Amino acid sequence: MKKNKIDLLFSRFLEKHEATPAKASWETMDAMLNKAGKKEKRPVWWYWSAAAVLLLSIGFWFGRGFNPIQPLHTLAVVEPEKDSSTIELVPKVQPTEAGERALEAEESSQKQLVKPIQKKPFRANKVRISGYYAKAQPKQSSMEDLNKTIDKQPEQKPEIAQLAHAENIETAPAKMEVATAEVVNNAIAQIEFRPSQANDELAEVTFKPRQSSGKRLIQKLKSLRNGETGIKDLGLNRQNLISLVTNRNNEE
Amino acid sequence: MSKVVPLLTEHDLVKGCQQGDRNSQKAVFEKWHRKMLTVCQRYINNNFEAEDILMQAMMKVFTEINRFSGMGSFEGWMRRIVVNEALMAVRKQKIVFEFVDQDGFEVLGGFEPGNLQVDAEYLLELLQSLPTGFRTVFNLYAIEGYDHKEIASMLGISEGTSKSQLSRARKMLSDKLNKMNNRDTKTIIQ
Repeated sequence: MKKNKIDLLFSRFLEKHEATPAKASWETMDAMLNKAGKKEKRPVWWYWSAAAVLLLSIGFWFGRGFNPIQPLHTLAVVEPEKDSSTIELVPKVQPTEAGERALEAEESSQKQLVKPIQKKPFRANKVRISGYYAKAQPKQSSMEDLNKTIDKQPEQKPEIAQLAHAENIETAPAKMEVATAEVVNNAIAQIEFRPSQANDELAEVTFKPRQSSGKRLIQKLKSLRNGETGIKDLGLNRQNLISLVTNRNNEE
Repeated sequence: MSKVVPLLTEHDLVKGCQQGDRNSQKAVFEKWHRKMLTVCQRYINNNFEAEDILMQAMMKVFTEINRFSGMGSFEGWMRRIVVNEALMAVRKQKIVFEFVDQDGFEVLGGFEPGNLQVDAEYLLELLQSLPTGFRTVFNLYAIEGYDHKEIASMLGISEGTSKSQLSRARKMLSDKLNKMNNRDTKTIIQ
């Protein structure tokens, strides 16, 4: 590439030209180097302390300016925190008083029923009721404990709410507690508003005892002997009777 | 009996400066500071300001000399530092590089040296008389040897602007040189 004549002229003349300085000298340069050397010898702790002071001042300034709780020159008033789980549980615990009354009514009705009928249907009913509370207290398994569960039910439901509030459980466990409380309250509400229906159900259960086939057959035979039922009510056909007679003869 | 002074090479001087030897620093300063002052004066049209920039650049040379790897010439490395320092001063002036249409400048700006007799001092004055934009681009392209792409990135301008600035600088310089050449020729005839 051919270089421009102007470019050549200036580069050739100025490339190696040495200007004469008016004031720049080695003495000035030496003084500047000495000054820079002294600056470098500043102790390390000086920088650390300067950084600490800077950070503290920045922290103080921002902490003062952006305090969201308390404005300047005012007293702080700390209000107790409202737990959302407690808010949800409180109205659902209230019906327990009505549930308590319903349970008492149910117990009194059960006591009336227990005398003429067997204990088994009564147990079945208890199991059904206590089944609602099995989620809250799954460890209770014996029948006495179940009875206690029913007796203590109104007292324990506030404990569940207090437990959720006191232990500051996370949202998921709190929701489980709420769901459990809802199931309990629904069951109690059913008992409260439909006690007659509960008694009917109880009665239905009591007249259908679960017995072994042999005992049922004996009962049917007894009723046949007493003349309460006919032979057709036994549910035996001809072939069954023949097989029973032949089996008995073979055993003899 | 005269004392024999060992002749220090460029490598010895650099090594001495890297070890903080003040005599080596003085030797480096004395050897190159005039040449580096010329570099500063090419970019800065005020000689006192150019000397200040020279001192700052030499200070940077001594403090940053450990970064010199030894590859290439020490003078070239030092010159780049001085040029960068001068460009920083130019940028502080916030000059505006105006785009100038360069069509026809090469034809009009034809320069014939003829019997022109000039010296470096005169050419330096001529260069300092140019506007800052023209002078800076001409220095970087014609004397330092950078191309337009490099100049554009160094100065934050487009390549077209760099080219137009160079053409305009050449035109102004050739006009002034031609004027002087004619005057000298007339003087000789008379």
